[in-house]
Amino acid sequence: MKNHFIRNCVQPFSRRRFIRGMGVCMALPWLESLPAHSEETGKVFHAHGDELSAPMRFACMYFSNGVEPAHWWAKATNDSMNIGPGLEPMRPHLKDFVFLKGLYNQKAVDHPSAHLGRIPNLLSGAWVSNDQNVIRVGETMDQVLAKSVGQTSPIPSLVLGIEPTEMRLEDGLSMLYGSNISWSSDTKPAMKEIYPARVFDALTRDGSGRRTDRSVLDEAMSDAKSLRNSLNVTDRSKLDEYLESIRDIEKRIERAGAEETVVGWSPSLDKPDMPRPKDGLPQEIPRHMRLMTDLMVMAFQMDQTRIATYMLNNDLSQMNFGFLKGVQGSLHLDLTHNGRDPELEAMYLRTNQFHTAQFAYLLERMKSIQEGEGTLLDHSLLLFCSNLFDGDKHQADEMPMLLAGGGSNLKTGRILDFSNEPKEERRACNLYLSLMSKMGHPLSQFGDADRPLKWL
Amino acid sequence: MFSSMSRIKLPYKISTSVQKGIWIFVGMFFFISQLFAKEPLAESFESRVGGFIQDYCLECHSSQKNKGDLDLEAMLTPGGYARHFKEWGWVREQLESREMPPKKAKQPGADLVKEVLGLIEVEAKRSSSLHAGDPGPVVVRRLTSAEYIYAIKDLTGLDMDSLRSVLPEDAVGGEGFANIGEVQFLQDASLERYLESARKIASHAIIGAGDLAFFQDPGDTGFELSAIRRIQSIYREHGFRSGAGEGAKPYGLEMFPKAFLVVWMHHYRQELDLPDWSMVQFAKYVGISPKFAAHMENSLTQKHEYPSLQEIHEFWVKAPRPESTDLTAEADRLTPYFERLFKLVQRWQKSFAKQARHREESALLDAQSSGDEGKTEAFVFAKFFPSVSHREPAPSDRDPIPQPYDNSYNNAERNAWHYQVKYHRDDSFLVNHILPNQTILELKVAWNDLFASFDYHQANLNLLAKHFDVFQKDVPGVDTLDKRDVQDLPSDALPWIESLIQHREGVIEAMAQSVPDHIEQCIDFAGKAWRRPLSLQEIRDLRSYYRQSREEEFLTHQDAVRLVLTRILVSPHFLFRLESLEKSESIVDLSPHEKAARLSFFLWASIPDDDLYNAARKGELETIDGLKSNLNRMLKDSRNSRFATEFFGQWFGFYRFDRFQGVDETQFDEWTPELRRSLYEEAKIFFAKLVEEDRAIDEVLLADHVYVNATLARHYGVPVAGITNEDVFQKVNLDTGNQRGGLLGMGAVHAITSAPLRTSIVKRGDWILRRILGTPVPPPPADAGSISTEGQAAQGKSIRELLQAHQAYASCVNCHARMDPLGFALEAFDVTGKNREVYRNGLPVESVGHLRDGTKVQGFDGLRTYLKNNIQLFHRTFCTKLIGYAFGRRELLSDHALVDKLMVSLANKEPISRQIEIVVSSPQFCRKRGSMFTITDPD
Repeated sequence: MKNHFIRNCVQPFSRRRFIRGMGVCMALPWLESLPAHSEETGKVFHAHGDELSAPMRFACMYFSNGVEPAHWWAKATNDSMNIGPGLEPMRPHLKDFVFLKGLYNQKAVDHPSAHLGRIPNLLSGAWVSNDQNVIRVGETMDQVLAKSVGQTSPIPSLVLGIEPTEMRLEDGLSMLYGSNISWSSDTKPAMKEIYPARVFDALTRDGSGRRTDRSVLDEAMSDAKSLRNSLNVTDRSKLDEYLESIRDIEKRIERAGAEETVVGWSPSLDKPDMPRPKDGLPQEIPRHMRLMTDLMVMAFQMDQTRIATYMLNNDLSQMNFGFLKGVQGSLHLDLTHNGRDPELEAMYLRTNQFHTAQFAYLLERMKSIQEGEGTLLDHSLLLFCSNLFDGDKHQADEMPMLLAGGGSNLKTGRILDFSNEPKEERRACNLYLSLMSKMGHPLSQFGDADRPLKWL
Repeated sequence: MFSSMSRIKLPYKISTSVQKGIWIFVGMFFFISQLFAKEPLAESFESRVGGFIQDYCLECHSSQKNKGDLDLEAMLTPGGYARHFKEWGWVREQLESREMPPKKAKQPGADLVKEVLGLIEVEAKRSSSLHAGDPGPVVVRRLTSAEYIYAIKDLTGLDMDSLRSVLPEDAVGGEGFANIGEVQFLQDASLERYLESARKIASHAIIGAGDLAFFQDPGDTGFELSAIRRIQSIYREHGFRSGAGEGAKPYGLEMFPKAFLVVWMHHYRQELDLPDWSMVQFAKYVGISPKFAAHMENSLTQKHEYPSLQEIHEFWVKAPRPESTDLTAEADRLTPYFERLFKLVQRWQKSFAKQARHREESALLDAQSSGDEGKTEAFVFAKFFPSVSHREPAPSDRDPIPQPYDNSYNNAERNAWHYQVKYHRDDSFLVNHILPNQTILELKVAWNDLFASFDYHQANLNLLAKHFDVFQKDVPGVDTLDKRDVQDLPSDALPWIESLIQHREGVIEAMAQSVPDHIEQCIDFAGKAWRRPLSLQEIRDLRSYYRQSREEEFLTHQDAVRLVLTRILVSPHFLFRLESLEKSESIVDLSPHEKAARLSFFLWASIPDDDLYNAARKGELETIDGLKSNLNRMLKDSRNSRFATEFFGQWFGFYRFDRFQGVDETQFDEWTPELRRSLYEEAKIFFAKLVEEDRAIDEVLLADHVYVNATLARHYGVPVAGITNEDVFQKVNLDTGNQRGGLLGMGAVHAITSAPLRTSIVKRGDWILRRILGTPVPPPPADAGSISTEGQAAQGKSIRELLQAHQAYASCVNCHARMDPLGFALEAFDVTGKNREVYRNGLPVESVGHLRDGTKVQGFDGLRTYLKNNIQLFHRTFCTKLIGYAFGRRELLSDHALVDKLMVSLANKEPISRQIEIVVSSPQFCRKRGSMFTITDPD
């Protein structure tokens, strides 16, 4: 790869070389231009805020359909906290997370569609288009990060899920909304991956042997460019998606190939420590979820990516929890909307405990992985949340949220209750501003927020 | 959009094309704002209706409040009527019936309401005439994953269903279909998926000595298998064998008595009163290879030294002479005689086999393959009357391996031959005495492909080296070997090795000869894939891409062709349904090829076939007659079953029911993969037949037949005598009262409208309102919560009693009074679509619904009667859905005239082809907006 790089650099200026140069520029955000010596040595630097310590990662794990309020609470005690039954799986980690209460997205609350108006905007606080002909929400905070700090790793962000997009409308709106919490632009969801084997392949692809791919992409690019002028404005924007997609792959090939770290921190894992999962979707949901979690951890550990979102289920999910002892019926229709039947409430609780257990497992895995002075958990900010609080009532004026990890960057083992704060302090986007800042991408404004979350 | 553009702008500072893009973008922005500015609402409408709405409606239906998902402020903006004509229709209904403003609110006087309704009517007419026939804004569509897979099937013949997990996922939008540009994104890594998918398809290409083709198995294995299949299929079709050897069934032997007959006819052509007929004509008349007949003439009519051949000759000579000139009668009369003659031939074959050292060997041999040619009676006999026309390409264990190798059993050489060299061509009798020239060429191509598909020549060289103990342990690469290099080899080895080198050169040359053809075939492939003739520049580009791949990337011919194919399939020309933008201020005609593509994607969810492509090329689609005749042909093609699956499947929600997970199989023993598959098939077959048999759309609801296989006959309790097959679906006509027939009796529908453990009256009612009647209820208030669980917490309460709870809440009653009664009517079907009379808790099923106006909807038949009485609502829904599917957008005001036309056709119960024809010949379908199109206001 090194030779390849040099060879290309001595060629006359080409578009590809330009992109290649760009990739390096992105790896060195503080440099105005490419230093001459890097061409000579062929060495490519990895960028880290502090080159000697591991970089910070961000992950959001999402579960749909909210919780039963009676099950989801935390109360401070002298040296720790008491937790509601929904949080039971988190008991071993009481000191490692912040219990956040009372945050919400105003535009979700305002939306007439109880489900689809309140889910795709979870991480952006944006309004969901009500026009059947227009798909529009807002770029989400994870994707903002993907385009900034995410550019330093081979894969800008991992967007994971378990369930495919449902092919129907709900309240006249596309179920696309219910299936995506990561949006790479206002009008376009980021591509969610539900096949474990495909994630594995993406993480282990090293960019070698892709010369011919590049030549195919070059041809496709020239097709698209020559087409551009013969299209109208909306079609042109679709074609621009095509061009962006090509550039994206080229950058990926580039980043995957340019992995020679010269100084400082290096990932604790350079090869996969698990076998390649089988093609296709795992039949059992618990296995599927665990695999995806493991892959996410592996991606962080290998520094293949620093940003991830993970939907344990889609909104309006009919996921069948028959695999949990004593649970019957579908998540949405039977268990969330349970008519406060005690037996069904108990089952609903089991499903939420199951979701929480996935997060607990993630923490446990990350705690067990040493990275320099600390653990992988210390170098990660992990958000666990749903878009609704009381799922039965589609209550969006608060959301169940746990925030874990962060090392010295985040004081955990706390309860932060914003319920009685003024509106402008309760915005979920305040939290996102804070998180982006901790990730090394401080912004003054995001969504409906203009300030970081206080007390964090 | 702006924000993402500016982000791109930074790193690409010096890229002029992006800068240009931004300027175009900014220009377009002004263009759009002008587009809307140009269409002010009529003055009186704006002031009077606007004022009325301000006074009586905005308290609830403002942009901010948006109650019932109705934003009247947006509807009043310029162009708002056209954009929101459906909502305006609803407003009119509400005002007419005085349902709104609600009783509690301030009420407008009757005269005012009348005036406002009149003004809305005027605006409706004005706006509708302004837009009539406008194709509307259609976002360019990308192929859905289904369309992609169908297109590949039609392009290559490959079933690539496995690509479903590779291709980007589909979502639905617009009127609920996946073929809507708005919901089709190319995401960060989508193209990676398309690249992978195109590579996979290209790996199936057969790039050998013949034409570019595709085979179900990919890569080298596919190349090898495809060659074997082609060889075997030629052998099977043209050859014969007597069936010596274990497990080998005789075939093709009927050609012997037939050939004898032909020889006889030709011999007596004068007597048969056909003096001018040639042997070829007689052979064609009887239906056998003329070459074979000629060979048999040579074998039968000459005298022989050997007793066996002489006996056969004499038998032939004694054949009866013709008695009439009736060819058929004479053939019938003589056939038994020549069958006896063939028995004689077979007796001799068997007797030679017995004498031989290896039984099968001798019997199977044809003369040319043996080194002992002409030396014994057996071999001479085999030259004239072999018992087999060829050997199989890969000899089984019992067959001899070729010379010079040791054929004795269980020796290392024999095994090495079987595992490494594998194939030997031995079909000279077939080639010399049976095959027509064209087939000989095909066979040659297939054999060359087979030899080129693996390192045949190297393997053979290695084995020869060992056999003759030459080259010591250092066998050279066969590609480095030259005739000069081998001159010093021992004389026993030399001819074998020389002939191997020569053979290899022949194969290489055959491969090289097809190279230019392959490039041309790639260009043809691109034309089909891109649905139009390529420009000269595009052709040049494809050629130079191939050359560049060979010369600069040093790819082999095969790899370079695969790369060209990959490149064709990831191109936006393939992935997008592009239509060129004409510089015009009005609405312009599609190009013929654009029209062909719209037709084929509408009816077949795929690219045009050759006939349609040629029809477009010849301009046939420009005339109404030409369009109709092509449409008729297309509607008869089996590919229209895709229309049934895609259109009806997405409309009614049984699409991809094969992966439906919504039934808890632990609770329903009968819910098996087999049942699910059968239910899906039933739905697909029902709609495919509807299209194929060209029925009226009313049958969707009112059909009195079902299609069942054995599983469904059992499951539905439909009595069918003697149905045992799972794969064959039989049409069964039903008496009334049978609770089946049409969409509402389909188990797939019952399952998708249920929860995993129970049926849902609300879901089913909502489904009927939404998908059949087209009158959906608005979304429930978000904070409604659940007030009942429909029989889950039944504690002695009936479902009706539980649902009664809805009546107690004002916010629930309006909608549930519409949904619940219709849902009740389907209660006699359980989650899996099985009939039931009692619930699991033992209570009797309640399947009577009471509508607000007092109508009683009783069970399945009652529901069908109700829908029959409201059939025009169903027709209207059909129009909306058909328009949505055909045009890739939501229904627009400009579709009004089209809808009217469709509604007349539907009211007259015309068959579905008629409605398809109406859509296809509409201006919306045949035309597109020009680049500078704006809606101009006549005022």
